[in-house]
Amino acid sequence: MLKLENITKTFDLTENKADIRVALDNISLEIDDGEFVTIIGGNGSGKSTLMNIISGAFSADSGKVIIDNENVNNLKEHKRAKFLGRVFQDPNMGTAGNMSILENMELAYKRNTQKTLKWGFKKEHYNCFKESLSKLNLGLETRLEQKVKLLSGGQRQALTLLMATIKKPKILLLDEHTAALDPKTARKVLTLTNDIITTEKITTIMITHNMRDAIKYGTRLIMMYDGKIIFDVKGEEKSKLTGEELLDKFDEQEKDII
Amino acid sequence: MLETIKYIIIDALCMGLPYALLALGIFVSYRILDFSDLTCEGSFTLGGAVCVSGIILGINPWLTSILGGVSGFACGIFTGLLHTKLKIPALLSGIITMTALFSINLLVMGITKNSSSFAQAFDTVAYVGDNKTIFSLSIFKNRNMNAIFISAVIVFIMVAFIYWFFGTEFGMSIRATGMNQQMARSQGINTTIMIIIGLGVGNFLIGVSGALTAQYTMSAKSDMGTGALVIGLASIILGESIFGKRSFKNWIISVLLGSIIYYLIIGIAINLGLPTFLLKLLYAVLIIIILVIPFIKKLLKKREVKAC
Repeated sequence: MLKLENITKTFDLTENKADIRVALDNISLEIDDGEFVTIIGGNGSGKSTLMNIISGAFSADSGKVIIDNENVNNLKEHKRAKFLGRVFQDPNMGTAGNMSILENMELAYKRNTQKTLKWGFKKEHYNCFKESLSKLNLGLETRLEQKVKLLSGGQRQALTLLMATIKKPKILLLDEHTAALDPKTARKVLTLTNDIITTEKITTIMITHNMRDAIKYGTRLIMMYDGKIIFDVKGEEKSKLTGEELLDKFDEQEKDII
Repeated sequence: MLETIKYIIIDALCMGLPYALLALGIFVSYRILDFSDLTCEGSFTLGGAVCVSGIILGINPWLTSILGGVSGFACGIFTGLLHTKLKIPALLSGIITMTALFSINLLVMGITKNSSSFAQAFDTVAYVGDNKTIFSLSIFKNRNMNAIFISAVIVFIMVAFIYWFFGTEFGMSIRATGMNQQMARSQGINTTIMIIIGLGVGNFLIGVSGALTAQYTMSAKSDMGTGALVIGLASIILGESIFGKRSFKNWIISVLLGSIIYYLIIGIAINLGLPTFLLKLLYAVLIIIILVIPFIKKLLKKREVKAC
């Protein structure tokens, strides 16, 4: 489904290119259809850069990104959108605040299509949107005409999630999408995320800071450190994984550096 | 007294209706696209210049009015290309286009002169003279009533066009781009194209506005666009603060009415004896007042809370 081949990405920290930081160091990764991958790692480990390389927000210095046997290296961010559903860390990022819930959902529904001069709203979508909103159990189904900026952070994230999955994406990218929410809301959104992913069988990559979440959810766990993948488990091995083991792995790396 | 009031209202409508399109155009770039576009000062004049020169050359006034709009559209596209393709900051892109347009406008207004050398093929003003304009179409006997009616019809068509356009899939994508580019891109929207076309549509309206204004005043002048941005912005903010912006339809109509009210205020000021050379000063003072109103409202609210 998703294949990354020898991806390297560096950032110039100063203008004269003397100070270069390697964000991703020759990373290769293959993710199968239907896998739910959680990625964990400290600040600056390269997990967000990895996400941005897949989505096309950054282009890699070298290496290939292949989605569904198609090399997407030269596809810009908006062209890759037809493969991807994305939810960001900032709840304001995934929706257009001054548009209604209905308008936001219409845009998401037509993610894969050419934008034409046809009228942007379709009556037959209305009920379909209402039904999917009611599944969120947040009471949003009665507020379709309201502007999204009036919603709370959790509601906005849930809506973004719904928009990302309204047309089943080839890959769902979740970039710490619960990090900006309070613990109770975060748990609710995460449960919702898990429900949608497992019932729709969506191939997913989820970045998280929370070790417990990384272990609890998903079928595969990847740990990153300093631009490299240092740990990769799936299946039964992953389900047996405990927090202590994961923490040990992390400490090992820290010791090597010191 | 009653005569004076009638006179002020008619005058406000005569100027306010053509300028409503200017305000709408600026509304598209500033409010919908969130793009501080200074192209308008040049594209407004270009619209007028193209229209008047076209009329002098014997082209149908309705057609030249549209050509005025199309030339504005081209200016917007140019600014958009500078910003998106060459990565020049928004404000600077507009200033560059506006500066270039100053020379181009002089050339366009000089096109009708039979000058022997290129160095003399410019003019700072072009007069319609005895040629027909769109306002020559006589529906009412009174010249002003006639102008108001024709402007109103054009404004209505443009407002309907804007309402339709921004409700289509394409227009919705432009609105989303203006609100949140990251969201737009992740929903498969090509934000580069949306910014370019959006600026084009905004400046199209501004070009048409220039064409109408030039025909109403029977001339195009190289400085007719000076202060256009301030007038447009003032109209937008005035309209918004009086009539609100609850829905898109409500918002467009607010901008439209804002422009007319703006000219009512100007008309009253002139009638009270303000010399016309102080007009631009009045524009500036007016926009300061309009901008400060929400701030004062907030202050008053705070004080009320404290008093309790």
